[in-house]
Amino acid sequence: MTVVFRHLMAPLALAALLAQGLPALAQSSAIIPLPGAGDPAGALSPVDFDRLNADRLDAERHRGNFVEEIAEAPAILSPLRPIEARGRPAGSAIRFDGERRVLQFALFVPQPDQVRALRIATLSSINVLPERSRYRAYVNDTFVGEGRLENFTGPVAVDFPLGPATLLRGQNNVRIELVQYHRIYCGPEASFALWSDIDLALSGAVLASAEGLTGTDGFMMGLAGAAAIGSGIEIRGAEGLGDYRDEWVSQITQRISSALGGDPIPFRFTDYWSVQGTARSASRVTFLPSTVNRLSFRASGDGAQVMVVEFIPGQRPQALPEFETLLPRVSARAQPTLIATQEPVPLADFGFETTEVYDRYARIEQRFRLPDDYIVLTNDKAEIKLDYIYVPELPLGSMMLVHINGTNIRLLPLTGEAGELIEQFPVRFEARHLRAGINTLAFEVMVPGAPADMPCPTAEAPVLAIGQSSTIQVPYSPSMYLPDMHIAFAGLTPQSVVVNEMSDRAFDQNDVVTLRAALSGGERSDAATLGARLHLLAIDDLGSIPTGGYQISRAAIEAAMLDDTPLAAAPLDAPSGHALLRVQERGESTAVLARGWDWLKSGFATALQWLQPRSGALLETWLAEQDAQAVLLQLDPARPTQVWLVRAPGSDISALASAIVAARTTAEGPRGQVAVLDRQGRWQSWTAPDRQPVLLEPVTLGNIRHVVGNFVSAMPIRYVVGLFFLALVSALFALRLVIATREHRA
Amino acid sequence: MNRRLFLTLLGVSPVLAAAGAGGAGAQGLLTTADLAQTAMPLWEAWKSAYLRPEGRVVDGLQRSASHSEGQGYGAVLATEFGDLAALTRILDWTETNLSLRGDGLLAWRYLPDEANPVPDLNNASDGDLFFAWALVRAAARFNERRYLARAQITAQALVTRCIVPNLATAGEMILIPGAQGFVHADRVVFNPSYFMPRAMREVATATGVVELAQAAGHAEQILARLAQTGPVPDWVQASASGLGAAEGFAATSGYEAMRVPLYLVWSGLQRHPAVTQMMQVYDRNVLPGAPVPTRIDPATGAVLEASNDAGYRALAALVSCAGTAGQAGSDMPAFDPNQPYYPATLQMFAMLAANQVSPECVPI
Repeated sequence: MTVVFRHLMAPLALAALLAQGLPALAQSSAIIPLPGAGDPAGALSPVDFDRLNADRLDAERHRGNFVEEIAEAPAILSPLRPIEARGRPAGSAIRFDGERRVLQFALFVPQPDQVRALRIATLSSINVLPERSRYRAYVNDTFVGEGRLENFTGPVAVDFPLGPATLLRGQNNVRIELVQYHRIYCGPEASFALWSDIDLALSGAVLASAEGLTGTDGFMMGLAGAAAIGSGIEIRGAEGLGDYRDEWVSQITQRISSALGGDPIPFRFTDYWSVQGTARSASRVTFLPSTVNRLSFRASGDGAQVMVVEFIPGQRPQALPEFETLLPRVSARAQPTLIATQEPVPLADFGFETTEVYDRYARIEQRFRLPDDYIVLTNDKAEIKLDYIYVPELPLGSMMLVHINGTNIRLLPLTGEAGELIEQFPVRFEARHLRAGINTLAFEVMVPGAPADMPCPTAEAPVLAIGQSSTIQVPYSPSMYLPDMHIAFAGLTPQSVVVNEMSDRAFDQNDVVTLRAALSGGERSDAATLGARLHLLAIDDLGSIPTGGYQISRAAIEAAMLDDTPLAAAPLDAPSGHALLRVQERGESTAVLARGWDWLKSGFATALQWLQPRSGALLETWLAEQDAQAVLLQLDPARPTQVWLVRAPGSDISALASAIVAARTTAEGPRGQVAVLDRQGRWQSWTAPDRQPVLLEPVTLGNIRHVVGNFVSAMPIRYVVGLFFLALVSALFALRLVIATREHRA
Repeated sequence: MNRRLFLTLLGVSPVLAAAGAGGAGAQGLLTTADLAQTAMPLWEAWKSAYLRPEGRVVDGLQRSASHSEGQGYGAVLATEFGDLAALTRILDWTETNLSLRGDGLLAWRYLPDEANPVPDLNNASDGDLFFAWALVRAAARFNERRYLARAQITAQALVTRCIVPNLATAGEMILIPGAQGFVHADRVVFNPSYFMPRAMREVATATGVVELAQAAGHAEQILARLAQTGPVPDWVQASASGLGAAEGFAATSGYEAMRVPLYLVWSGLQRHPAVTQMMQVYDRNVLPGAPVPTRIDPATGAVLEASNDAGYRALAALVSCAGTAGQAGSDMPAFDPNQPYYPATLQMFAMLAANQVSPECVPI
C-alpha cells in the first residue's frame, strides 16, 4: 500500500518541487522529506539483501553477448579477387558456366608464413555430375589441389594446404580450372545447363591470425575483401579536407581502382562516428588533420584494413608524394590491339593463341580494334583465312560457327577432312559487319552428344583446335566518321565526369566518386587529347541534352527506365495518343470508314518511314521496349566526344560502374546514338537509321569510289530519289526543248 | 568550507592532474565537436534500440529490467545530444517509477513483469550520480533551473546516505554503491566503477554540495592505489587492514570495473595508473576482429572472458588511444545497435569521452 501511495504521490511531488525554486525546494520537507537517519528502504536482513541484489552484485553474466571463455583469434581470410571485370557484379559469387572454364584471380598475402591453406567454396547446379566434375587450383602456377563439384544446396568450402614456399609476399596469381559434366545429357543444350559458383567471400587464403596484417599488402587484402563481401570502401573524415577535398578523394579513389582492377568497387563517405551497416567494413581510407603529411596502414578494431592519411589542412595531395605511388598497379585494363587494314593480320598479332576445344559447346572470342575513322558501308569483302583441325568421327551435326560482332558469317561443318590440318581456309564476309573501334571475332563450336541422352564420356583430348596463325584481312576505308558514342565512351577518364547543379538529384557524392574511380584505367591512349565528357543528368534535366535534330521525350526515357510506365502518357488529345482510344470515340456508323482511313494513314506512314526514316518515332518505340537501369545518349553528331548519362531511380551505381568498365574493352559496349544498360547488365544500343557519314579527308581519285559508295550506301533511297528527280527535270527540259524547236513560227 | 578549499576539492589532485595533461589531440587539429551535429544517427540508433516511448531504458539481457543506472545514462546521452523531448520522457518515467524512496534517491531497479515492479527500494549510487549529472548538464544546456534544483536534492542525499569514511585510510571518504548493505561493522564494500570523478565534480560545482568533489579526489587516490598491482577489481572492501578483495565477491576485473578507465579518461585523467593498467591488458590481448577481453584476473592479467560486442571494443580502443601520447585515431568500431544495452551504452560513452577529452581519438 505504501508503494502504491508513493507511485501516486511521486509525480505530484516532483511537479510541485520543480515548480519552485531551489531555496523553496530545500524547505519543502512536507513534500519530499529530507534524508533522515533511517533509510527509506527500511531495514533489510542480509539474506533479503543478497536475494534482491544477486543480479546487481554478480552482473558478470548479464552484461554482454557472445561471451567466450578465452579469446582465440579467428582465422582470417584473404579473399580471391577476379582480375577481369565481369560487368555484372552479382553478389559475392563468380560463375563458371559451360563444360570447361579457366579463371584468374589475384590473391593478396601480407605474410606468406601466416597462410595455412587455400580455401575454395563452391556451389553447383543440380545438373552437374559430381563423380566426374572437378576443379583444380593453382597458385603462381603451382598445383595446390583438386576438388569435386558436389555441393548443390549451399556453398561448401574445401581447404587445400598451402605452404609459404608457394606464395609471394604481396600479389599472387590463382588459377582455377574447372571441368563439369551434365549428369543426364550430353551436347550443347546440356552444356548450357551447367554452372558452378565460387563464393568469393568464403574463398581465399586462410591466415593463421590477424597479427601483422597491416601495410600495403594488408590494405590490398582488405580491398579484395570489400569487393568480395560487397560492402564497398569507406572514405572517412573527408569533410576535413576543405577546399582540396575533391583532389584528395579523386586521387586516392583512382589509385585504388587502378590497383585493384576487375569490377569497380563503390565508395561511400562516412563520418568519424557512424552506425554499423548490414555489411562489415573490410577496407577504409581515413583522413585525419595533422601537422604532418603522412600515410600509414592500420587494422581497425572492426577488422577493417585502413589507410590512414594524415594531412596538413590547406595543402594539396601533391604534398604527399607517396599518396600517388604507394599502391601497386595490379592490372591494366588494356584496350584491344589496333590492326592494320588491307593486309593479312595473323590472329596472334592481336592476342589470339592457338586454342583447343574440349567441350560440346564452346565460344571463343577475340577482340581487335579498327581505326576510329574506319567505315565500310558498301559490299566490300573482308576475309579470314582459318587454320584449324578437328578429330575424326565427330557426331553428325558438329559444326563451328564464325561470328563477327555477333553476326554469323560462316558455318563450317566438322565433317570430312577430319584429322588433317586445314590451312588458310577462306571465310569471306561483308566488311560492313566491321565497325570503327572494337570488334569481336568469335568461334562457336557445337558437338552434339552421341548419344545425347547419356552423360558425355570423359573428354581428355580436344575435339578441335584453331591456330593462331589464322589471318584476317579487312578492306580499305576512306577516313570517314559515322556518328557513334563509342569513341567518346572509350575515351572517358575520371576527369570526364561532369556534374551540374541538378545532377545531385540522381547522383550523390558517393556515386560520382565511384564513377570517377571506375573510369581510371582502360581508356584510350589518346584520351587526354580527345577530351571526352560524361554528363551526369537528372531526369528533370533532360532538356539540357543537345538533340541534334532528333526527338526524344521524357516520357520515352521514363518508359525505358520505369517498370510499367506507359510510353503514351500524353493526354488523349495529343498527337501521340493511342489510336485505339481515338477509334472508340468515333460513332459506330463511321467505324468502317475510320478503319479504312487509319489503314491508309498507317500504310502511308510505313512507306514514308521506309523512304525517309524518322528516327524520333523509331527511337521512342525502341526505348519503350527496354528495361533500363541507365540510358546513355549522344544525339548531336556535332558533339562526338560528349555523352549524357541518365539513371533509373534506385539503380545500383556499382552495377552501372561495372558495366561501364567492362564495356570499355569489349565490342558489346554502348554504340550508336542511344544505349541502354538493361537489368541483366547488358548494353542495348540504338543506331539512328538516318545517320550520315562525315568525310574526314579530301576527295581524291583514289578514294572517290569508296567515299561515294559509303554515302550512297548510308541512305540509298535519298540518292535514288535525287537521281530520279534529276532525270525527271532533264526529261522535262528535253521535252520543253523538243517542243520549243518544233513550234511553228508565226 | 572556505573558497580556497572548495576550489582545491573541485580540482584534480596535483599528481594526477599533471599526469593527465597529455592528449595532444591529433596534433591539436581535431577539436571537440557538437555530437548533435556530427553523430546524431548514433543517438537515434541508441534510442530506437533501448529507449521505450514512455522514457524507460531497457536492459534486455536482464529480464528487460530498467535500472536507475540506465535512466541516468540515458539522461546524460539525451542531454549531450540536445534531445529535450527524450530527456523529458526519461526524467518523467524515472520520477514516476523509481523515485519512490522519498529522499530524492532512486530505487535501483524496475522489473516490468513483476506484480511489484520495484521490490527493493535500495538505491544504486552510480545511477543517482549520473541522474544528477544529467540534470546539472541539462540545466545549463536547456537553461532550465528546475533541473538544478532536482540535482541538488540527489547530491545532498548521496552525501548523506552513500558517502562514508574509508576504514583503510583516515580522512578519506568513499562513495558506496547503495544506502543499504555495503557498510559492515569492520569493513566497507564498494564498487570502484561507481566513482565518476568528472560527474562528481560537476555536480558538486553546480549544486554546491562540495562533499562530492572531495569524494572524487579521494576516489582518484583510491583507484591509483588499487591499480598499483594490476587492473582495478569489480568489488573491493576497505577495512582497518587496508584495501582488498571483497569477501563473497569474485576477485576479477570484469564488466563493472571496465568502466573505471572509461570514467577516468572522461575525467581527463588519461595517465591515471588505472588507465595505464587496463591499457596494458588491452594492448596485449586486443586483436582486430578478435573478441575483446571483458573479464580479467587482476593478479595475473589473464583473460577469463572475451566478447565480440562492439561496445567493449570501443572501450578498449578509447583507453589505448587516450592513454598513448601522440596517438592519432582510435580503433573504435562503428556503433552497433544490435548489441545489448550495456556495451551499447558504454560505446556511446566512449564516444562522448573521446569527443570531450581526446578528440584526436576519432575512429579510423
